[in-house]
Amino acid sequence: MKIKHLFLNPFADFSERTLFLVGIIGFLLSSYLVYLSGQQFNGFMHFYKPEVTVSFIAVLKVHAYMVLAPLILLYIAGGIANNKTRIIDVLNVILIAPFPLYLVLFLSRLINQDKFTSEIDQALKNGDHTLSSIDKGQMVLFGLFGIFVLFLLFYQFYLLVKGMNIAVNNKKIWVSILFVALYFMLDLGIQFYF
Amino acid sequence: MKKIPVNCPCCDAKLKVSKLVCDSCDTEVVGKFTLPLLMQLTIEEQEFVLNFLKYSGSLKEMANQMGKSYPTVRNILDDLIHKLNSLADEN
Repeated sequence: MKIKHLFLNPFADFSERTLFLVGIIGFLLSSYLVYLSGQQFNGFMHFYKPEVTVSFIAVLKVHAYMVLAPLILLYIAGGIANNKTRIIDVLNVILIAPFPLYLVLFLSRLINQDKFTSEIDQALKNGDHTLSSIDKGQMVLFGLFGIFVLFLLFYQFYLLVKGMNIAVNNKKIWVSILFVALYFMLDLGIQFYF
Repeated sequence: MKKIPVNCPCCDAKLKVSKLVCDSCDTEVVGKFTLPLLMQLTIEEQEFVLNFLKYSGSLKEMANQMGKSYPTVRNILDDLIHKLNSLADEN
């Protein structure tokens, strides 16, 4: 029962301490994974490869901004919807909701997505518009990976909505849509600063 | 012990008590009596209220006992307060 709830709504059953600890571990591990892959955050759902090597502390710092910015925005929005909203509940949502994205990050490293992308890039530059030089099995694998990534992105927003609904005791669909819209717009806006 | 139905099984309207019987002398009191506010709650909600008293109103302790998170228990309480206020207004 707990396992099912773990995926469907972890915010309903687990204590704030457990959620916070797991969230912090995820935050640190994902930062380390981004650092190892030589990338940097430039949004809650975006990474880029800077020309210069970035330190682990620099990755942690930017990642911390990526947690703080939505925390402030969603805490204010949650506070307007219900003044009993606690900051720890919103923080746990912000820390736990991107877990599917961390899985994407890990899997993309595991199947070496960068290599595949550069191969596609090279093939297109060489005029191979039908991508006949790319292995078909690899194409299918990355096609399936793409579908799985879309599912995980959807799952990220599902967790965000579930978590915020519990933190704010919200039952209105339009408020849930507002939370997603605010998160999405902030993610778009923050890319101009990082 | 049988569970007292709170709503009409036909039209879902709130039921009233029409007869009270004394077990020792069989005296019967007939009339239309409104159920007390707490009796109008569901069994789960009544159990929640009892647990709330049992744990001296500590939602944290209730959350631990119920295996639920604190905000979930607080939300149940908030919804219950809202329901009790609505029932009180209706009565």
